[in-house]
Amino acid sequence: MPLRMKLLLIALVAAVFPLAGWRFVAQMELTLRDSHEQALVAASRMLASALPQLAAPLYEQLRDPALLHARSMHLDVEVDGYPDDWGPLYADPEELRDAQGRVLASLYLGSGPSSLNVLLDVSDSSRVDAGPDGLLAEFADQVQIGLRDRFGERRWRIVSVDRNSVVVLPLTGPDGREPSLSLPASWSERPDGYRIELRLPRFDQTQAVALKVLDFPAPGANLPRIAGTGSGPDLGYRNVARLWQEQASLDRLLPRGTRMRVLDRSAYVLARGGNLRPGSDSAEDDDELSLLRWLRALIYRHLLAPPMGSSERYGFNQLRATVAPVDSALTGTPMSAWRPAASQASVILSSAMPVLDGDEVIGVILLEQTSDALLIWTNRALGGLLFGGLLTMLAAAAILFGYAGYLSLRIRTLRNAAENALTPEGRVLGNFPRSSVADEIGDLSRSFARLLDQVSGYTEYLRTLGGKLSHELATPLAVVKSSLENLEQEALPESARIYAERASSGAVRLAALLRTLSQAARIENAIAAAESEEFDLAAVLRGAAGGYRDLAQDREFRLDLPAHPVPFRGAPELLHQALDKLVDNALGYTPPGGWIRLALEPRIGAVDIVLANNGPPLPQRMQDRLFDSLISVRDGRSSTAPHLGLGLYIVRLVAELHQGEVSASDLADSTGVEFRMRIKGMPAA
Amino acid sequence: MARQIAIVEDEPAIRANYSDALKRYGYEVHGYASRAQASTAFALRMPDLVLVDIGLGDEPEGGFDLCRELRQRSTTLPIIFLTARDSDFDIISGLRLGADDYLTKDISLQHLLARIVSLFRRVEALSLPAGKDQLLEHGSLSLQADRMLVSWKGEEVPLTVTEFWIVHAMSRYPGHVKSRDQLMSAAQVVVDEATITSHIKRIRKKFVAVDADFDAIDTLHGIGYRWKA
Repeated sequence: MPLRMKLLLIALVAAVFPLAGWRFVAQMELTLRDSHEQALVAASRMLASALPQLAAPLYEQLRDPALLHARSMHLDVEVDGYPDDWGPLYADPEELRDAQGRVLASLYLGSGPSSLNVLLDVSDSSRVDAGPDGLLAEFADQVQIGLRDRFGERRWRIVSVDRNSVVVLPLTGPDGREPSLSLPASWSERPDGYRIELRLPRFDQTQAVALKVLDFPAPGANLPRIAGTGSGPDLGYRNVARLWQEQASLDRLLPRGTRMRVLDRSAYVLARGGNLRPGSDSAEDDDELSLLRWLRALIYRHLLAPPMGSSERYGFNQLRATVAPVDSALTGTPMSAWRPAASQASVILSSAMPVLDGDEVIGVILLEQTSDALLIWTNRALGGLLFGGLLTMLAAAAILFGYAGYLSLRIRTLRNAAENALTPEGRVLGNFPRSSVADEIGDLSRSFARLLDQVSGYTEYLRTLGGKLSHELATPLAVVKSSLENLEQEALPESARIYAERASSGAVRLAALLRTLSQAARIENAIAAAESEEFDLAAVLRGAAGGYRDLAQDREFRLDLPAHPVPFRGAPELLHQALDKLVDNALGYTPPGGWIRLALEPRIGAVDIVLANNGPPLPQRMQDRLFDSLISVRDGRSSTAPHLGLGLYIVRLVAELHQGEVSASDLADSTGVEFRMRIKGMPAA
Repeated sequence: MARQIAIVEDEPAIRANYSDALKRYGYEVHGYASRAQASTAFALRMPDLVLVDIGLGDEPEGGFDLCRELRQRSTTLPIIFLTARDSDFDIISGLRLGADDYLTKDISLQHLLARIVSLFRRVEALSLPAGKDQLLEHGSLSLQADRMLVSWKGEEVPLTVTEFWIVHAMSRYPGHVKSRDQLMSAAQVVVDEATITSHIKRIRKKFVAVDADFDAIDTLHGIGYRWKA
C-alpha cells in the first residue's frame, strides 16, 4: 500500500473527535431530557393530587366507574342515518356486548346545543321487523332507550316497521307514565345490521342514559340477544359525561407551553386544556422552516434522539388517548414518553400520572410539553460540534494526505533519480539531484549522491587506469629500452647476447602494450572531443573497403552498399577506426577460404553498418560483455599483436557517439557471426 | 671539434643512457638534472644542440621555460623536446616555443640519432649559400631538404623535423597515397595511427596559418594521406 493510503487510514483516527463529540452531546441530550421529564412529571403529580380540590365535579365524574361519554358538538345532528355530520367524532364508540361478550352495538353519544345526539350501529344479521303498524314491536329487533334527568325518567322503544322506516314508541316508565315527547329518529338498514340515529332532549348537563338492544334471531322467537348499558334485563343507567371539558382551575396551574388532558379509566378525554407552544404541533408551520432547521432536525432525529414512540393516537382531537403512558398510568405506574412533533423541528414529552381515589386508579392526567428549546440548544451545540469536528477531521486528513503525498512525491523522485543514475553499463550519469532539505529524506538523497560520487570516482579511476598506467610506465620503460639499446652496442659474449635480445623483444612488446593502453584513453578523449561533419557514409565505406580487401587476402571480401549516396552526420575518421577494429576482429576468426561481408543498410531514422564473417559462433559466456573495455575472449587464437580487448570497446564508444549501439549475434544459418552498428548520427554541433 | 649536446633530463637512468649512446656516436654530451643547473651552464657556454625533458623535477613546465630562455639567446640553436606523453605535443605545438622537434621518450636511439644528424646538417646548410641545397618545388610548395626549410607561397612554414619528413615524404610524389606506415617510417617513429593523424593535423594548422585556403593534403580514410598533385 503506498504511503499516502497508509497515512490516510491513520488520519481516520482523527474521526474519533466527531465521534466522541457526538456521543457526548447525545449523552447530554439524554440528561437534559431526563431533567425535563422530571419537571413535567412533578407538574403532573401536582395536578393529579390537586385535582379533587381544584376540579371537584370532574373528580366526581372520574370516580364514576361507568360513564357514557358524550362528544361536544356545535350542532345537533340531522337524524338521517348518515354519520357524516358527526365528522371526526364518529369514532371511539362505546361497545355494547351481549352475554357472550360479542359486540352487538356501537354507541356514539354527542352533546349538542339542545340535544343529546345518539348514533347506534347495531350488528344484526337476522332482522326481525315489527310488522306493519308496529304491532309486533315487542318481539322485533329493537332498541330501548331511557333518559333520566330533572324531569324524571322517560323510556322509549325504537323499532322499524319495514326496512328504513322507524317507529318510536313510548314506554311506560317506573312512575307509570309514558313520555309525551317523541324523539326525532331515523333507522337505516345496513348490510350487517341497522343504524339508529336519534336526538334526546338535553336541558342541562346532568343526565343519565340507558340503552338496551334486543336482537331476535327469528320472527316468533322470544329469546333475544341482549346488550345494553346495564347488566341484566333492566335498563342500566349510566351518567353522561361530556368529553373535552374545560377546566380553568387546572389550566391556571399548567406551566407555559403545556397542555393537559384528564382521562377517565377508559382513557376517554374528559377534560382538556392548555396548549403547546404555538406552531409546535402543526405541520403547517413547516413552511416557515428554513432548510437549515430542517437539516438540524434531521440530524437530531437520526443521530441523537433516543428512541421515540410514534405520534399516533396522541392527537389533541382524539376522543380517547389509548397511548402507552396512559395505559401504564391506568395500572398505577406513571410513565413518560417522547415523541416527534408533527412539525419536524420539535419533540413532545408526554407524562401520564394516575389520579387516585385512595388506592384505586380512577383516571389519568396526561401532560404534554414541547421541547423546542432543548432541541435547538443541543442542535446548535451538536451542529457546531459536529461541523467543527468534521471540519477539523477533514482538514487534518487533508493536511496529512497532502503532506503524505508531498513526502511520497519526494521519495518517488528520489527513487526515480536513483534508478536513472546509472546507465545500463554501470556508468554514473552524474545527474543525481542533491536535496538541500534537512530531514531524513534529504539525508537519504545526500547519502545517495555521495555514494554515487564515490562510485563515479571509482569507475572513473578504473576507466582511466589504462591511460594512467601507460603514462606512469612510460618512463621506466624508456629506461629499459634505452639501456638495452646501449647494451646492444657493447661487445657481449654470445651467451649474454641472447638474454639481451630476449629482454629487447620483451621491451618491444611492453611498449606496444602501453601504446595500446594509451590509445584507448586517447580514443576516448578523441571521441569526447569529436566534431561532426556531413559526409556520404557509402563513399567512406567504399573507400575503406579497398584497404580491407587487401587485408583479407585469401578470404572473400563482399561489399554490399546501396548505389545511392547515404548522407550522414558524424566523425568519419572515428567511424573508420571502428570499422578497422571490426574488420580486424573478423579477420582473426575467418578461416582461409571463408568470407567477410561489409554492408550498409539504411533504415528509417538510423543506418546499419553490418560486418559479418564466416567462422565459429560467439562465445556463450561473454555474449553481453563483448563490447566492454579490456575484455579478451580470443581463446585459442595465436596472435603476435597484443590483444587487450579494446577493439570492440572502441567500436561501442564510436557507435554511442553517433547516437547508436552495436550488437553481435550468430548468423541464423550458423555459418558465422554478425556485428551490427545501428547509428543515427551525431547531433549538429 | 665534436658537437656539444646538452641533455636536460631529471631521470638519471635515461639521462645516462642517452648520454652514453650519443657519446658512442661521437658527440660530446653534458647532462643536467634540472633547469637551474642547465641554465647556469648555458650562461657560461651554449651547447650545439639541446635535448629537453618537459617535466623537470619539481618544475612541471621547466622545459618550456628553458626553451624560451634559449631561444632568446639563439634562434638557430636546435632544441628537441622529450616527453612521456604524446598528448603534450599539442600543447607544445600550441605554445610555439620554436622547438625543432618533440618526441616521446620511447623513441629508439636510432631514430633519435637520425634527427640529431639532420638537425646538425641543417645548421650547416643554413650557414651555406642557398644554391647548394636540394630544392623541391611543387605548386606553391617549396622544400629545401638540407635546410629543412619549407615555404608555401613564398612564406616560410616552421615545421619540426618529424613534420618536415612527413611533408617531404608526401610531396616527393604528389598524387601518390602514402599509408600511415609509410609516413611513420619516413618520420622515423614508431607510433600508433592516431599520432600520425595528429601530426598531420598540426601540419595542416601550420600551413593554414600561412594560407587560409590551404588544402593540399588529402585524407583518405583507412588508406593514408597524399599531397595533392
